[in-house]
Amino acid sequence: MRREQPLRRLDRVLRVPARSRLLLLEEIGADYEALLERLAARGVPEARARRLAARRLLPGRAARADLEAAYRTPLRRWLGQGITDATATALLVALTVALGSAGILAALWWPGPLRDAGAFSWLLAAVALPALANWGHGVARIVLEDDLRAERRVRLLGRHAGFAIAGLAVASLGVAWEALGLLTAFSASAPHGEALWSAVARVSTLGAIGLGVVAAGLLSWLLLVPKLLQYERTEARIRRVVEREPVTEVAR
Amino acid sequence: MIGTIWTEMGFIRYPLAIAAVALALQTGLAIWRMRGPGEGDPAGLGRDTILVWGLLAATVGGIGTLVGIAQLSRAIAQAGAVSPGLVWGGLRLTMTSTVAGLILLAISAMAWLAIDYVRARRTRTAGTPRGPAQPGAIGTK
Repeated sequence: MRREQPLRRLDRVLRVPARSRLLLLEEIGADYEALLERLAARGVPEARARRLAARRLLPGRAARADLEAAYRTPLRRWLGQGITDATATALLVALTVALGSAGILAALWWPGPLRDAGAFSWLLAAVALPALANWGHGVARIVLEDDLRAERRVRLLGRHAGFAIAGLAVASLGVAWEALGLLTAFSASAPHGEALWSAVARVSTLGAIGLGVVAAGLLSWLLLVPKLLQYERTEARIRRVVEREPVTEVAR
Repeated sequence: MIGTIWTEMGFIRYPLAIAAVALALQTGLAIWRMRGPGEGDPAGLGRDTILVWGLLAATVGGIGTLVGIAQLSRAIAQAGAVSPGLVWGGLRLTMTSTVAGLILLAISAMAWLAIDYVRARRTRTAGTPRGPAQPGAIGTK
């Protein structure tokens, strides 16, 4: 036996969409309190009443599995039992990265200013792809489970910010590196007009690509925010339901 | 003057205008959410979105300037000899988008700070104990 709030424990282990989790916890919490009142009216000591109520009302492993099956997201239901959550998430991440890679490769291979921007644009692509995988992982969780718990949200947004800063750092390094090369070349021989302006164009394009990566990072962050905000509101309501009851002993 | 700057900014004025409108909407939404008991934005994520729109505007402004410089440089490289006045005039034009983006970032930062200040003040006021109830006051026996 250990001391824990039964509803908090249920909240921790129940894997259903956030909104359904709130509704289930509210319903079970209300039944739990009503049963406690009935037991108290019958003269059952409080600690024993809490244990009895928890044993009777909180779903066991099998009942939890039934609940999780009943409250699946449409996509998860459509995928069926054959594909596990991990596989489905991996497939969605792979799809996001594949689409992103195709776009980046097309932009870098296509004859034009992006291809002329130099080796640092490839380094930027190397930063953009894991960033895309991180974002795709978050989206996959949202689409598959319609839930992203607080620690996952913090991790997702933290990594996202990290990748955006990495993109900016690589682009700045690229601009500085190219500028250094140019200045070294020009210090040896006076710059020719056309060479100078072509070099300025290349450096500016690289800077623009770097800022483009940052802008894409910010936009993808903005795309996630409405859903994350909804989860935060739901979790705030869940906290209120869970924190209403005192600690009691429950079976492991 | 604003009309001239708007025209001078070129294609980048449209994403900047979208960012400005989104920034205004997001600020309005954050103010509206503040009127509730705090459940509308429990961790301040909605409020932070104001800053993200400002950062996006500044980034887009920077992209506009860099793309403008790249286009200008290519045009000069192709044209050969160009008068310095034309070069500086072109550079001035490219800078307008960065200035506009940075103005939006400054506005977003000020809005974020103001909302954060009001929110903190309200939270403090709500959490301050009011002391023992006076005899005869409403709600006391």
